[in-house]
Amino acid sequence: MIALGLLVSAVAIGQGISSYQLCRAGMSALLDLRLEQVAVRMRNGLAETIPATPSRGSQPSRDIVITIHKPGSEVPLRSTDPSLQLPQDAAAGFSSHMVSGERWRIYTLRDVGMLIQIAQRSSVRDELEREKALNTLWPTLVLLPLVLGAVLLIVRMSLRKMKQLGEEVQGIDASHLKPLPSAGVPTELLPFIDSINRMIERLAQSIEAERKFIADAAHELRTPLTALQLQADNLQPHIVPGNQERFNELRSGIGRSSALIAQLLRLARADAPLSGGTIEPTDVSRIVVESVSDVLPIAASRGIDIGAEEMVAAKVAAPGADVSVAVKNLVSNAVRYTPNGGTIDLGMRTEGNMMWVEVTDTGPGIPQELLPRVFDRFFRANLDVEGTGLGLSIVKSITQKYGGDAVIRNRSDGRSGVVAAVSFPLAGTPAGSLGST
Amino acid sequence: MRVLLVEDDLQIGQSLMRALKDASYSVDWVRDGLAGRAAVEAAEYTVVLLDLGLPGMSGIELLRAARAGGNAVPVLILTARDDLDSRIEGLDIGADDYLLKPFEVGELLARIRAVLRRKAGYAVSRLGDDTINLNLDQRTLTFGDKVGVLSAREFALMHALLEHPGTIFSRSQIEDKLYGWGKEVESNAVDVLIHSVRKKFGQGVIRNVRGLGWTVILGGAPAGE
Repeated sequence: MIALGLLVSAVAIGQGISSYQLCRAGMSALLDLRLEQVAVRMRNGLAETIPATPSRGSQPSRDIVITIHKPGSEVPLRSTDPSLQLPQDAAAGFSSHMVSGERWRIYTLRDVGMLIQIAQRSSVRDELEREKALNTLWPTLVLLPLVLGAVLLIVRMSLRKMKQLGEEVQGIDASHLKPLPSAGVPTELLPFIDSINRMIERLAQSIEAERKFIADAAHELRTPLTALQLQADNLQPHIVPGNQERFNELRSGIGRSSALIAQLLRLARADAPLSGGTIEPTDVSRIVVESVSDVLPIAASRGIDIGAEEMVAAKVAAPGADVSVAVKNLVSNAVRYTPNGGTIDLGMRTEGNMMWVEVTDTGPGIPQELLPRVFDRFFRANLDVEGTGLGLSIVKSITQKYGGDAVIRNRSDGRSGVVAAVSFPLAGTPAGSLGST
Repeated sequence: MRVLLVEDDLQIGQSLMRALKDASYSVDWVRDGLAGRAAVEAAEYTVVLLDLGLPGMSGIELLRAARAGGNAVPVLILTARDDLDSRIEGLDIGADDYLLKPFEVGELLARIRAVLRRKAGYAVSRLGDDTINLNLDQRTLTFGDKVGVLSAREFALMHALLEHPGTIFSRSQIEDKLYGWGKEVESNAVDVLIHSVRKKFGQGVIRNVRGLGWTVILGGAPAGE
């Protein structure tokens, strides 16, 4: 924008200078023409109208001086200002001479028996020229700010659209790959928007291909794993008691593989883009109760006190199945990391247009330096407890898909343990309706 | 008892054959959908174990064709597809149960028994399991080694809880189930009722879940209180 302003100013200045110069040259030519015309008139007999002895001091300084000589005579035959001694040897036509300490523009016409010289002060001519030439600058001076203002306005308007587009681009990530809108975009930007949209499309395709591959691979792995599970089960009656423990290790290995595959499929599903259509609002308190029910037998058998602190009756704009996966993941993590006899608290609260579900445990907590990585795939902060390292990645994917978030932090009340929280936009809020487009 | 196994994977098929034979079922095994349909039409089976991804004709199509032809044989779907839509579709078109791969032999056999029981129309006369159960005919509750007769209100409470064991019921949900809509309920009525059941059977019979409500846990979880 500054460059454009400078360019416009430079053009205006250039235009001003050139029209100034042109105008001065034009004025100069006009003044010359006048000198020449007067000279011609003098030759045609008008010389007689000039008084032989003009009254002194009556000559305004801006006026022209006419001098007519007989050749060879020092004293002019006629002169409007006899005190001015014009050089008689001046070349025919226009010339400039210093006379009486001033520069004069002189037109010299030599005729038969007559030398006609018409002179004008150069300073007067300069003044006239400058005056007229300066007048030609007025339109430019008035127009320049107007043009600058217009440039500013147009550029601002175009940039505002660009800023909107920039915000749209900012919102693009793996789970929100939507093409940029081309409505209202300046025509010059359309090819740009077009190629960005094509890039987004290619990106979406390759991400989708990767996700499909993970889903397909996990799916395909289920078949051999099923065979393995069944084969192991068939062996069970034939295992001698001395080998039973080793056999159980084998079976728990198979179980782990199954769990990993199930999580991979869940992750692929969580990463899938929103399929469109409207989302039925979900009652989160029902899911909180359900997720506690699910872990209650284990929690009870381990003496863990699990309960809710605060329940909120509000619905969120995300499908129940996904909200359920997210909340249950947090609750099952809490149960796994909380030692026997510990406490797990669930809480719900609304903040702005978000509904948060918090799960607070009395587990060992997570070293502060590892916290930023807990949502990374296959990252596990605590290797003593069994897990796939995918649970929190799934939680993050699901929450972000609907415009919410997932956060894990250590307790700040002096007790050891973590506070794991997920948020979803409340149904019926602007952020909530964003997810249902 | 004769079981039809429709499964295209060689290893899974072989393992299932062995497991079912060990459990004294006689098994016919076919490996594609068309052969499966022919078998279902040709013979009387006690139960059909049906894979969904089959060559020739998908399990869903096979099931649909069988049900359209009026065949009511119990069908248990065995599949690697665990998305909700496939599950709903399978059950909607007439499957009796749905088992996700990989599964354990023990669970498969239990599901087969459950499907057969349901088909035979056994009346449920007992809610719960061996550790805690409610006898619906005699209105007695068994918890561990204690057996006792319940009052009408206590029976209604335990019936509500044991109908969905493990589910947490809030105070208002229990009130709705016990007293019906629009009735004036004393604020501590549920507490009094729970207290009287606990007095007879011990604290662990009904579990209090802090902030949420009450539930009954099957499987003999030790009394935590």
